[in-house]
Amino acid sequence: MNTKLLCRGALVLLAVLTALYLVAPVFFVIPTSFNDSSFLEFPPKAFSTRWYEAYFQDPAWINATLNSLQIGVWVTILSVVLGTAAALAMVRGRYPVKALVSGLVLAPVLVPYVIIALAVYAVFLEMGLTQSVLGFVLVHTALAVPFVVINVSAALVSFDERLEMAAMSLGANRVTTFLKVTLPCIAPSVAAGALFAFITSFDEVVTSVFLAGPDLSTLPVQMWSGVRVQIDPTVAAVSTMLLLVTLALFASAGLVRLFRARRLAEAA
Amino acid sequence: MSQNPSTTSTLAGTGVSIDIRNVVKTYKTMTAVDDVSLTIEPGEFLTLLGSSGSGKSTLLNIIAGFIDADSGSIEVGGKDLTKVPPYRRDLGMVFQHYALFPHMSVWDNVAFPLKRRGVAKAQVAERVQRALDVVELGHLGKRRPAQLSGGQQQRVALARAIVFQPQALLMDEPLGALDKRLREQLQLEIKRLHRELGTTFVFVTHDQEEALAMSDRIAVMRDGALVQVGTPVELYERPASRYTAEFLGESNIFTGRTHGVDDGSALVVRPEHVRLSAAGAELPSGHNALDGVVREVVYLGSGLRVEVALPDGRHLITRSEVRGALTPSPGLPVAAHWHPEHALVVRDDTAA
Amino acid sequence: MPQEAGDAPGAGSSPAPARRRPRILDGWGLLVLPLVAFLLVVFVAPLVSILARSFTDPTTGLDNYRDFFGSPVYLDVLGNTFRISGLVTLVTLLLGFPYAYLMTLAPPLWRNLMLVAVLIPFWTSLLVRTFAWVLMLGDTGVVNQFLMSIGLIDEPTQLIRNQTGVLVGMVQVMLPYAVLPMFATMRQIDRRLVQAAEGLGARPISAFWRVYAPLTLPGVAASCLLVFISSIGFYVTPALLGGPKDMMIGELIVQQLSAVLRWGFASALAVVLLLVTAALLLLVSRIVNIGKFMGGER
Repeated sequence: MNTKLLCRGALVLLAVLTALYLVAPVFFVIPTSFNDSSFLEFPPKAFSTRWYEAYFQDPAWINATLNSLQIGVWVTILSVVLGTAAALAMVRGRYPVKALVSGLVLAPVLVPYVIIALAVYAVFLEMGLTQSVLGFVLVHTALAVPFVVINVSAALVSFDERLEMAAMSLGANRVTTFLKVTLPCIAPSVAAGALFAFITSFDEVVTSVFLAGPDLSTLPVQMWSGVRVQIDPTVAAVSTMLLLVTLALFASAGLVRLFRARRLAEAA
Repeated sequence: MSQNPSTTSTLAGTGVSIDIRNVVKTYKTMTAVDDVSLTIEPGEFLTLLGSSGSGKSTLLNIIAGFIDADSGSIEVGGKDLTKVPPYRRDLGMVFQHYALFPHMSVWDNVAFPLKRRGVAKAQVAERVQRALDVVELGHLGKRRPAQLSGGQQQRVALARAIVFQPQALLMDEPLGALDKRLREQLQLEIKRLHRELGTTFVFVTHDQEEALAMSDRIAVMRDGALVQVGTPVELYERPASRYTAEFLGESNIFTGRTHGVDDGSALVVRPEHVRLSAAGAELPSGHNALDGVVREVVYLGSGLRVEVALPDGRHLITRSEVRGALTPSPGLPVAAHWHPEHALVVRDDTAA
Repeated sequence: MPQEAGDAPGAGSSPAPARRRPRILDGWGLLVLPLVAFLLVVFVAPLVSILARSFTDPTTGLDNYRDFFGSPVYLDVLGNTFRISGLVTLVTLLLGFPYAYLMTLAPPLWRNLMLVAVLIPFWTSLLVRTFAWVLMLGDTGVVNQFLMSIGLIDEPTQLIRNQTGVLVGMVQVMLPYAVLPMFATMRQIDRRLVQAAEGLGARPISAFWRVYAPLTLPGVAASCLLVFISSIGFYVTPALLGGPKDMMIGELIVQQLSAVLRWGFASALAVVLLLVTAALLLLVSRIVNIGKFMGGER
């Protein structure tokens, strides 16, 4: 039995180290960002918010952030519309070469982003779409839309179609039935897909680095150049803010889900 | 059930007739509905009865407009609805699994059909409240469907289906998901609703007791075709075929082979018409009799159910009073006999 | 008579009669067209254009491919790519498998905590994490400070801009994509099988390796292959944490384009990378449903 206990102990130790390895760098950034020194020492010798000030005072950072937000919102809208429609077709519709279409829709996640970046850059350069919001939105939507399709089709598969029959028997036409019954029922999954889509765009580095330039840059591109050649300590401040926003977003999504589950559990 | 009559009378619909004419529906490998014609009278409670796969639900879905028939027509109140989409047919529908909208409160569920019809707000509130009162759930309007029991959910579904005073109410095994006690209670409620509303009800079930208890008329379906249509009494006492006799209630069946002539007919004797006498005792004159040995006696409270083994290896079932002339016990030789008027000759349609 | 077409409204008698008509495209099916058109224009057309370019730029023919396969420098990059991806896969498996296994054993609270630890890096921006590694693994970073303070080393050792840095960064990115599917696979395995084996006299460790581990094989193999495939296409992490000697094919593509503007050659590299990825994906799709396993450097 001793060997078994020993094995368990080793397993737990390894898991703790792995968990630390997964999580530590994420939280390491937070204290570092309040560094007084531009060498970003750890632990910081003095507390300072100078890198946060640097961020808010630098129009390059602010513009990049606004661009990212703007692009992210458009990408979210476009991928939710295209992705939800496609998911409806894929779950309920009849159309030729179904397997091929499914492959096409999932492909953007499977093809290395470098390849997509190169290919799209080549074409967009000729069409004058580099350094344009439209160019970014188009590429990011291609990368983000699979997440919407996956989320929404999963919801549609488990959706009870008898609810639609009920709605129609009660006098709702197809459009009303979709808007009043189907859509509200799959809404949580559409929202999850939208969140994924936004984050995919907001975090996207590779294709953005290709498409960006002096006229238009995004936050990841700005961060990229702040790490690539020489460390810009502002990146620490930006990273911390990004981290807190993403964690807050997902935590609230998780809480909402938990809350719903609990309310239903109480009711049952 | 205690509600003032005015509550339901204001929801009362006008019964309309439903004419099903030569409806056929075929799927790739099978005929789900095989040339069915049936007229449902205004205000009638008609049950489509059949086992699973008999086509009863398909037929109901064709009436509701969810399935297009290959040929034939559906007329409701004299109007041809064959090409009318389900949402313009104005037929209430109740499903086995309730199909309540999970994201809406009970109140919003019931208000749904009224809002679709553009009913004025004040009127919506009034009618929803009345419909909920009818099913005695007036106090639960704010709840979500998930917070209700199965029986309550089905009542909400009923309220939702009657609130807009549909031309007719279609119910697809509405009680199938409920336990026995609740089922019997809701049977009574549905029956009462039917009486008070006067609307035409079309009810689908596979449960023969339910059909007998509730219907004005029953249409027995089998393999997509109508086997027999009639009142519960007609179907039980004068089944036209062996299938109906066996499907509704218990029967003792004697086929032509029993008599040595296979003429495609069968003899049906209901257990309550079979009487038992001690072997060798004198029988009432004119009675048909078979000798046998009691195999099993089951005490049912209201009576006894006795199984008699016949010499040819088959058995016969009888029902008798507890304190009859004879106290049957297993192993007792008996004569089972009945008056010929209780022996019905029917078509033997259950190919062996 | 089959139940399907008879009485079950959910199955045979579903509400969309259009579905049964012998048409190739129905009303719902039309809804897939906008996305298909979008992806054909934004995604497929560019890929086709670089495929063409790889054969035509600067001269028509196989020159770009000949250049690539004829040059030891470039083949080294391909070798690096496979070596690093292989190492990443191996380390990910060594860390991920026990982690996922422990998750199946842990009580719910601990299991959820372990899950959160996997999901946090999954959710946070890749750049933020890579940036953190740059800070931590640098000469004056915490890791070197720690190693010196416990006397393991006397002077800072190089942990970044070399293979170690790339591995540390990439394994952290890939671990969630390996742990989650492995956990899903393991959770479905009936633990009583191991108990039964032990009851039949097998020592616990041999019961584990002979009964439990083989059952996890399909899930584990699929995760490993997908980790490998995703690793091949990495660009950001190796570019920031790797050194010039550890260049992977993704970086080479970018370098050839931005530094020397060899469009045709960069395209040929991309085509090679794409073909390798596609071939491996085909292999995975024989084991599992890919849709459930998607990952990568996001």
